[in-house]
Amino acid sequence: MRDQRGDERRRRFEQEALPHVDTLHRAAIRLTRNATDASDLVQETFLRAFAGFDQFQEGTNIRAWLHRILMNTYISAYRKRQREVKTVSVDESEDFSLYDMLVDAGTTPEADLLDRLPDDEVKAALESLPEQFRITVLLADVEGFRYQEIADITGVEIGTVMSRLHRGRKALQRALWEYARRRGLVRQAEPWKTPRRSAKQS
Amino acid sequence: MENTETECQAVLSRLYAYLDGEIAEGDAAEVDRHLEMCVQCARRFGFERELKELIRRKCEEGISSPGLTDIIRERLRGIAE
Repeated sequence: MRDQRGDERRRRFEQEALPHVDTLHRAAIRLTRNATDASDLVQETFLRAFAGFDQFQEGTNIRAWLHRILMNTYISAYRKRQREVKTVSVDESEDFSLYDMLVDAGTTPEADLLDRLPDDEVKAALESLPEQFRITVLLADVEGFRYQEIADITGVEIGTVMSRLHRGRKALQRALWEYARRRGLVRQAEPWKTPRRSAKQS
Repeated sequence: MENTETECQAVLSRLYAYLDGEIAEGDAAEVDRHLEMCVQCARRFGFERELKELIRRKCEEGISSPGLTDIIRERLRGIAE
């Protein structure tokens, strides 16, 4: 005898949660850097979400709720499995400004320039960030979450979100600069020339 | 104007909050006013806005997973209630 309430619950979950599979998969790819793990991670996330569906408050942001479960599942089950990948140092990048670097290189700082970088390289730049910064930039710039939502998803204070976002973005800019230089999209600054620290640098 | 550089500094310090839509309306209006008058800051803001958009666009595409939703649906149905 089929349980009607169970069916109803499953129907509701399918209707409300399943539309988000693709966006979660996208985030999972950026996290795990591996298609198989990403698929497994998403499946497990939805199973856990279904199990905890009674705890989800109707009318609240289900996408954020699902992302939170994704993050927790990733941290508990997948993070350890990642092979060690060299990540950029975030501390070095705190004052880095891609805009200023382009100006110093005598290039008009237009994002058109960077548009010439292949998607794969921009993704690789994001993936080169240390995990907490990668997650924060991903949630803000790719997934479009608000600061408070990111705080809820990652379980930290909003101030920490802002700090990670600021530093993560700077590190990303540094990584993009390196790629642009390697591709010859910008003139290499003379090695003896240090970047002008203008008063305008944020 | 002596104030200009300090003003630019102040506006620039709000760059991300502004682009992320996380500042109060009044502050946003102040930034807008400055950007209308200051070409340097307007260029900088424009660049950072485009860069943010570029990152979203380039990182948005995942490896496609056309069957994934179906797999999940099947797994959910396999769960005994």
